[in-house]
Amino acid sequence: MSLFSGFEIGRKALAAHQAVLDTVGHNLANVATRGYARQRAELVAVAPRNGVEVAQIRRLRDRFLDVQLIQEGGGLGRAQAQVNLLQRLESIFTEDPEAGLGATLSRFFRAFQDLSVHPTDPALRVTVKEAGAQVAATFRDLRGGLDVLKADLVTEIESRVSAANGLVTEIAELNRRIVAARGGGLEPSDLLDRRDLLVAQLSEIAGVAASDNENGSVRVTIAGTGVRLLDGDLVSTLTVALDGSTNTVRLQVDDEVVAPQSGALAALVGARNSPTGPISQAASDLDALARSIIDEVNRLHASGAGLTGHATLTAANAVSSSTVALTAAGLPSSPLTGAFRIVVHDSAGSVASTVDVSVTAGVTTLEDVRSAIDADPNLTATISAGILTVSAASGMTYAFASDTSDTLLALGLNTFFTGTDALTIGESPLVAGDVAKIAAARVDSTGLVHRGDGENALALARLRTKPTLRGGTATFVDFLGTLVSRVGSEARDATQALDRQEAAVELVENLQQQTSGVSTDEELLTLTQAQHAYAAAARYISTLNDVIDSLFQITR
Amino acid sequence: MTAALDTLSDALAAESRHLAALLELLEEEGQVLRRGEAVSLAAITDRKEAWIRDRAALEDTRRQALSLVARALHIDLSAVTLTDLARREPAQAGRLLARRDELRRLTSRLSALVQHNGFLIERSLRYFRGFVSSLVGAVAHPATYTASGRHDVQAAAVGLIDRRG
Repeated sequence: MSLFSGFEIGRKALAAHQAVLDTVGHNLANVATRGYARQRAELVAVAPRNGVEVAQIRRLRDRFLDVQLIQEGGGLGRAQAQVNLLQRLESIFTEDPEAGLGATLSRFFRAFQDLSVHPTDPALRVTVKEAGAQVAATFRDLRGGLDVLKADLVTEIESRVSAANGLVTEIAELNRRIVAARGGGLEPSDLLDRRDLLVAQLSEIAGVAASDNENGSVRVTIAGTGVRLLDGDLVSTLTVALDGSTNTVRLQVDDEVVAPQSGALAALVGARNSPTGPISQAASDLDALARSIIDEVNRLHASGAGLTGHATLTAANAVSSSTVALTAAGLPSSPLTGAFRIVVHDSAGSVASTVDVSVTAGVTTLEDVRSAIDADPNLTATISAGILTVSAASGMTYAFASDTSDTLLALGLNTFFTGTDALTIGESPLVAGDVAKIAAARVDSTGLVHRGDGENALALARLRTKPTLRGGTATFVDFLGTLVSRVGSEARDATQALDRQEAAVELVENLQQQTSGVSTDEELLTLTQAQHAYAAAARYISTLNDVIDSLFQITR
Repeated sequence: MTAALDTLSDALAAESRHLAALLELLEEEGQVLRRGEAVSLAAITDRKEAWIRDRAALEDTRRQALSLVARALHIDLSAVTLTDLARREPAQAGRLLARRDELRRLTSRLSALVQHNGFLIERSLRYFRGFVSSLVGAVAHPATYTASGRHDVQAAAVGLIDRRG
C-alpha cells in the first residue's frame, strides 16, 4: 500500500464518518418536525481494500404503516368533521330554560290555561297572543339555524376542496423534485417526508389512497373509487357544484362525479345531501312538530269563539280551483267527511240564523261550501283568487262551531297559527290584530256564545299533555325531548367514534415512530458510546508502539 | 549455548505467532474504523487488552532466554541482537536470521498499521469531541442562580428528551 493510497483510504473513512455524524445532527435538529423520518448513513466498503464511503442516507420508514396512516387519516378526517358538525347542531338545540322551545311551548299552553279561568281578561289574552308569537318565532329561529348550518356546509366543502387542490398541486411539485433527485442518484429523504405528510393531510380531507410509481413519484386516487387526483406531476382538479334541481352538492374530479368514502368531505357532503343525515332529520322532525302544533291548535281554535264575533273573515289558504274537490285543491291539509256550523248573531247577541255545511271528502268543492254559506240570507260568501271570504249582514256577526270535517282548519278560517312547518309558522293576522278574537269559548247547543266561557281555552291548554305525535304516543314535549336527546346522543356517539379513530391513528403513528421517530437520548447515547470507543482505542496506540520498539532491539 | 539459543528461538517463535494475531486484529480494526462501527471498535479494543495481558508473559520468557544467551556469551543483555548472534554462532545462523526477518516483517507491518489506525482514531475522536461539544453548547440550559445563590439545574429544560417518552 502506497503512502498516498493509505491517506486516501483515511480521507474516505473520515468523510464517511463525518456523514454519519451529520446525519445524527440532522436527526436531532428535526426531533420535533412533524412527519420527519429519522435517517441513517449506510456505509459500504469501496472495492478491494480501498476504504469506505457513504452508500446512501437511508430514511427509516415503514411503507406498510404509511398506507395504514393514510387510510386511518381518512377515517380521522371524517370523524372530526362529523363531530364538529354534530356539536354545532347540538348547540342549536341546546335548551335555554327561559327561551328554549320547550319553555316557550310550556308558557303558551299555560297562557291558555290561565285564559280558560278568566276568558274576558284582556291582559291574559295579550299573554296568549305573545306566547303564540314566541312559539312561532322560536320554531323559525331553530329552523333558520338548521338552514344556516346547511348553507355553511357548502362554504366549508368549498374551503376543503380548495385546500385539497392546494395539497394536490404541492404533492405533484414534490413528485417532480423527487423524480429529478432520484434521477441524479440522490435519496431526497426530506422531500419524501414532506410528501408523505401532505398525502396524509390530503387523506384527512378527501380520503385518498396512494401508490408508489417506479420513478419515485406517487399516484393518488380517491379511496374506494379509483378516481385519480394526481399521478406524478399530472394533477386533476377537484370541484364542487350545487345541483339546483336536487338541492345537493356534487364533487367532481375534472368531469367525473366522485363520492369520497372517507375524509372530511365524505362527512360534509353526506350531511349536506342525505335526507336521513342529522341536519335533514332534525329539520324534518322540527317541521313535523311545528306542523302538529299548528294543526292541533288550529283545529280547536277554528271551532271556537272569541269575545266578539266575525263581521267578515277571509281564509288564510287558497285553493287551486274552486270547482275541484277540496281534498285535491292543494290545501295544506285535506278536509274529511263531516260538517261545520256557522251561527249568525244579531247586535244583541241573539241567534239570527244557523247554517250547517256538510263536506264529503273527495267530492265537496270550495264553490259548494261558498254556495252553502251564501244560502243563509244573513251571510255572504265570495271566492277571490281561490280564497273564501265570509261576511255577515250589516249589524250582525257570526261564529264557527263544531267542525268535524277539518274544513276550517284546511282553509285557514278562524285559525290561531298560519304556516305549515317550522320555517313558515306564524301567528294568524286574526289573532295578532285583535286579541278578542282568540277563541276561548265555544258556541253552546243553543247557538249562543257566553262571555265567561273558557271551555275552548281549556281544551287548547290540554293539548300540552295530549299524545298527538308518533301515532298518538308522544306529546309535543315528549317529541321535542326525543329530538333534542337524539341530537345530543348523535354528538356523543360521534365524539366516541372520533376518540376511537384518534386512538387508531395514534397506534399507527406510534408504530411508525418506533421506526421513524428520532430519540434524542438514543442518538446522544450512540454518540457518547462511539466517543468512548474511540477514546479507549486511542489509549492503546502508544502501548503498541512500545511493544514494537522493544522488538526493534533484538531484530537489529 | 545451543540449548540457550533453542530456548530463545522457541520464545521468539511464540512471540511471532502472538504478533501475527495482533496483525490480524489491527487489520480488522482498520476495517471497523473505515466503516465507523463504534460498537465493533469497542469489542476489538477489549481483544487488544487481552492481547496486551498475554504479551507480558511472552516478554518475560524472551527476557529470560536472552539473559541465558548473554551470560553464555559474557556480553551485556542490551547488546544482544539476532544479527550478532548469527555472526557468533554460524551453525545457528540460518534459524536465527529467519526468526529475525520474520520479526522484522511483522513489526514493520504492525508499525504501519498502528500509525494508520492511530491516525483514523485520533482524527475521528477529535471530530467527535468537537461535534458533541457543539451539540451540548446548542442544547445546554443557560446557567441560572436561585435566590440562595446556588446554580439551578433545570433538567427538564435542557430539551434533549425523547419525544416518544
